[in-house]
Formats: sequence, C-alpha cells, structure tokens
Amino acid sequence: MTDWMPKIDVAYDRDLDLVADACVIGTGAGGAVLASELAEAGYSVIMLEKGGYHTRKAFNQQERDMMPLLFEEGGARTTKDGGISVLHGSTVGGSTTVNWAICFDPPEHVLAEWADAHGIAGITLADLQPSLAKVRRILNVQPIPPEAVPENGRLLLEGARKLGMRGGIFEHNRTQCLSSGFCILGCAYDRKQSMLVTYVPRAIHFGARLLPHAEARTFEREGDRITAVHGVLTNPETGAKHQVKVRAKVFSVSGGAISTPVLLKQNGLGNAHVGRNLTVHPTTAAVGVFDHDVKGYQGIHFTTYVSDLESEGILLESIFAYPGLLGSNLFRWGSGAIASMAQYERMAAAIVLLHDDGRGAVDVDKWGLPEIDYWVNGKDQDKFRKGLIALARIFLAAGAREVLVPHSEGLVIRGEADLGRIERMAIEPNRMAVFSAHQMGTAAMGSDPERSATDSWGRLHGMDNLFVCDGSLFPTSLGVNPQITIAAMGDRTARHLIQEAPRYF
Amino acid sequence: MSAGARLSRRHFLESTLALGAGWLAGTLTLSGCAPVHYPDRSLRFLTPKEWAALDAASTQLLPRLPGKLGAQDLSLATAADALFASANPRLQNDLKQLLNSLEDLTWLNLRFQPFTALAPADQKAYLSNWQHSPLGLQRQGFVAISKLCAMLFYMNPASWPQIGYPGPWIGRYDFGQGTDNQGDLAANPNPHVFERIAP
Repeated sequence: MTDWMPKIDVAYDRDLDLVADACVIGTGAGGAVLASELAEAGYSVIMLEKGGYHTRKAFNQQERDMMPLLFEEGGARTTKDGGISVLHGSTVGGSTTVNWAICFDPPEHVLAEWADAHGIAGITLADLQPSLAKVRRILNVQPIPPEAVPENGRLLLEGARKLGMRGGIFEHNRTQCLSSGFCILGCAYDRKQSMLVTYVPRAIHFGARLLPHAEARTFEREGDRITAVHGVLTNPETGAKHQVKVRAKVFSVSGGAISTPVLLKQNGLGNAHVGRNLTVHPTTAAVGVFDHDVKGYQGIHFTTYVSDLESEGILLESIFAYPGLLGSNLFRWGSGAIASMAQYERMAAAIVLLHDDGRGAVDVDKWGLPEIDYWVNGKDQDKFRKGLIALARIFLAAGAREVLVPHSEGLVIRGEADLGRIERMAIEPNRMAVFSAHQMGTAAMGSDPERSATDSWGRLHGMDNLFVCDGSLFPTSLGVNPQITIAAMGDRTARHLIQEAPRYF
Repeated sequence: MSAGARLSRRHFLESTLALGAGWLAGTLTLSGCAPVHYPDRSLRFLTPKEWAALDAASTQLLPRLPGKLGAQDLSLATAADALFASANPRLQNDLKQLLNSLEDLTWLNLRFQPFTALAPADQKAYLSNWQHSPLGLQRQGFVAISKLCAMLFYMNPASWPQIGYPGPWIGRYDFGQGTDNQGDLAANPNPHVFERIAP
C-alpha cells in the first residue's frame, strides 16, 4: 500500500527554465482550482507555491510546530498598528489547508451588488451555478451531521433557541470526518477536503506541475503582455537557492488578498486600485464559562451559527481554539490569566464576524513584506458591540455562569446589568482581541478602470494576459466564509480562458 | 508568537530610546529591585539584556500560582529566543525594539530604573501602564509581549495538565496508520477528487 498523494519531483539543485501554457502563482482556493481546470482541459500548467508541500504525515497537531510551518509569519502577522491578527496559510493549499472547512455559497444580494454597483458581468448566482456545482462536488460539500455537533456548538444553538433567535448547522467540506478537531493545524487524516488533498492533486493528475518552495519575484513584460515570471526556488533540505523562470501565455497571481497586491506592486503592475479596498471580515469572540465540562477542544470546532443579525452584517459562529491561540487572545494577564485558563474545559466560545463596511490597504514595507493598514470603522464598531451583546445573552441563556469578553478591561458579563459595559467599552487597536481569517478586495473586479483593479474576469486592467484569481477580486466583503466563492471564481476564470482560448492560447 | 508590533515603522520609539538612554544611565539605582535572571545557556537571537527583560515581563504576565506552573517554570524567554532565531527580519527587528523599549523607556511612565531593576510590584504597575496607555504604541507593545508569552506558555505541553487539555490525538489513537499516523493511506476517502467532470 502506498500513500495516495501524488509524488512530485522538483530539481532543487539547479536553475530551472520552464515553459507552459499557463503559470499559476499560489495554490489556495482560487489558484488550485484555476490550475486544475486548465489542466483538465488539456493545457500545460505550472503552479508556483511559496510554501512547502506539507502533507498528512507532517501534521502533528501541535500549535508550536504547525503554526510556523503552515501560516504566514508563523501566525504572528498583524496589521501595522498591531490591532488585528491576520491569519492566512503559507503552504500548498494556501489557507484551505489551515481553515475550519466552513462552506457557504455566496449570498445572492452580495453578488447582485457586485453586478449592479461595480458593473461586473456574469456574476449572478445563476451565472455561478455551474462553477459552484463542480466545486461543491469535488470538495464534497455536505451538511455537518447533527450528531457531529459537539457541546460547544450545541450551546450556541440552545441559547439562541431560548431567545427565539434563528440558527443552523454549517455545511463543510469533510469526508468521513473523525472529529479530531485539529483542522487548522492541517488535517492529519486527509478528511478535510482542502485544496491540498483535492484540486492540487487533481491538477497534478491532469498533468499540471507543482513547484513548492518557489517564490515568484519579478515579471518580464513586453508591452501589455507578461512573457515570463522569475522566482527563487529554495531547497527545503539545504536552504540552497536557485532561480526559476517560467515562460507562459497566461499568468495568474493567486497568492491571496495580502500577498497578491504585494507582488503586483513590487513589479509596478496594475493601477492605483491594486492594494486598496482591503476588507477583512473583522472578527472578535466571547467565551462562555459553564458549570459543566464543555471540552470545546473536542470535535469539530466550527459547527453552528446564529443568523438573526446577518442582514445587519453580523454573523455569530461557534468556534473553539487550542490552548495557545485561546490563551493568547483572552486579553487577560497576571493571576487572572492563569485563573481564566484553568476553566478551559468548561469554556464554550463563539465569534462575531462582520461583513465589513470599512476599507483598508496593503502596501509594501522596507523589508519587502506586506504592510497592512486597517482598523475597524465606527459603523463596524457598533456591529461588534451589537454582536457581542447578542452573544453574551445567548451564552447566558444557555446556562453560562459568566461570559468573558476579550478586552483589556477584563470584561466579565454575568447578567443583563453588565451588558452596558460592552456598550461603553473602548474599541481601539490593542484594547480587544480582533482577528481576520478572511482577507479580500485588494485587486477588486469592476467594469471601470477608474474604480477597480481588474475587469469582470479578473484580468488586470491594462494587461492582456495577467489575471488575479483569489479573494482579492471581491469588490466588497462577502459576509460569510469565502472559500467556496473563491474556488468558484477559480472555476469561472478557467471557463473564461477556455471559452476565449484563441485570444489567450 | 504573536509579537506583531510594528514599531520599526514608527520613529517614535527610536527617537525616544536615544533620548532616554543617556539620561537613564545616570539615574540607575538598584535598591529594592527584583532579582534579574540571566539565561542559562547561550542565546541564538536575543541579547542577555533583551532576554532578561522578556524573562521579567513573562514572570509578571504569567505568574506562578499555588499548584500551577508559571512562565518561569517553562523558560519562556529562552523559548522566544529559539523561535525568533528563524523569524523574518521584520519580526526580529520588532521584538528587539520592543524589549529594549520595555527595558529602557521606563522614564516615559515616570519610573527611573530599567524595567528589570524595578521591584516586582513596580514591574507589574509599569506593564499595566503600557496596557492601558493612551499611546497606541505602548498598548501595541503590551499586547505583542503578552500574546507572545501566553502563546509560548500554552503551546508547551507542560502547561496542559493545569487546564485539562489532553493534547494531540497523534500518539494516542490509531486509525489504521499507526498511533504515530505515519502509515500510508491508500486513497483519499473523497471519491470525487480524480473524477473527470464534463463542463
């Protein structure tokens, strides 16, 4: 018996000069699908991935080893004022390798706004259906079985039900899940159907070539056409570096909404909208402390949601985290920190995720690294307050003895009388836990080059053959977990390229 | 781990650090100070001064309580030294600036000894000043250092018994690939991965 994952053979001991029909930079939800679809259609494809080809056997379920291995900056990336932790993957499969596997189709009203306000063609839910259907099949999207909802997720729904609020159980992309709960440290059992175990091996199966540890740096350009990309290939065993050059007819930058604008800006590609319009789904959390064991670390961490406030751009989702992530985001220290974490087994947690109104930007700093400028605007601060109050009420209704709000004032909510403290709390950088696992919008699509970075199909305005294919394309934030929409955009971009093949190939 | 301070892109700390260093040197007194600890082995990235500042801060942030481990028990400063030895240059630069600021800029909060020379109660009060500071950079520094310490502390398996976390499944359960999970898996359990699907 041999492991099923495709073996790859990369010559890390020499410079490489390669030729393909298409070169896709990045193997996350957008890039992997685009590469696979083009390969399936018979085109030669090379995938350049800055991160490593880390697979099941490398995933040891320990934060201290997996965070540095799988996340950008080891999970330590933040906005430039430190106010928001910015989590995204840096490994084959991108953020899908380290996400919680939640699946939402794109909300119809958001797509309508993209069409109406931004002039994007072919973006209605009906237009996207063929792409969504294929993506959902290959990722094996299905409802989480009710019996797989652990106590942590059940408590959110129970509290919501008692308050007359609407809730539900997510769809996810897992197959025969073992409910180990280690999804964001890489699934050690290949049950989470990330790009790492679906579209990337599928692309290789159909003939695409994967080069991990290959960081794209510069583009060769002739007029409005890109002719080649140059990168650095790092030997994962020795650290020795070589050059890699890929000549192709079509290029896609698919590094995610933080890395994509950095690469484009470093090369002077695109208009002034590249790097602008950043949205992040700002997220904060609250922790309910119960009198019984919840053992939130057991089972699937993200299972249930409350949608009453969705029309206001607020989604409440159950979540849990390993000790390092949870302990470092409680915003408690001294003896209070030790005492709070001593209740770890009796904690349930949930997040407040915002369909953000605010916008930020990504630039390049003196180190050549992303400088992320974003803070939650006034309108979104009000949403945080409203969401946290709803969450506190839900946990209290579910029987929580107290609710911990991760704020520097050490807020503890024990009843209705305490909720005013949330109303009054200062929402400023580094006064409360705010994080982002979804970055979007920094190469937004639109029909008008004066208002957007890319056209309706993700092609950079002013360029003939350079596409963006990741969450950067979203003109607004999505309001729900975005992996399915990003994957569908990859499929949609591939369909466009194949339909218009004489123009591109 | 989450030492995300972006102090390098602001001139504030660099200029105040330079301004304060000479002044501070003339005001050092060692009476009533906390014992300064030094690393028990050679450092890979931090200087002894930086290590000592982090060690002192971590002791205040995660103190040893009766029957519970604290930061000192897990040598968090030494763990940070190892972690940051391979971090990118921005993170390295930010951590060094942060620790040197913590140690030397006490005068900004009207304290006239380096952080490591303050009495434990004063160290605690000084950190609280940073936490609640109207200066965004001090709050940023506090959050960076407290998150780093908490992350290193709770990622360490030695801390898990006191919170009831049983740790990874690997090493405990066998799903056909051995308890170490290193055995081969014949196929992805998802049958659609290699299925050819007509457009």
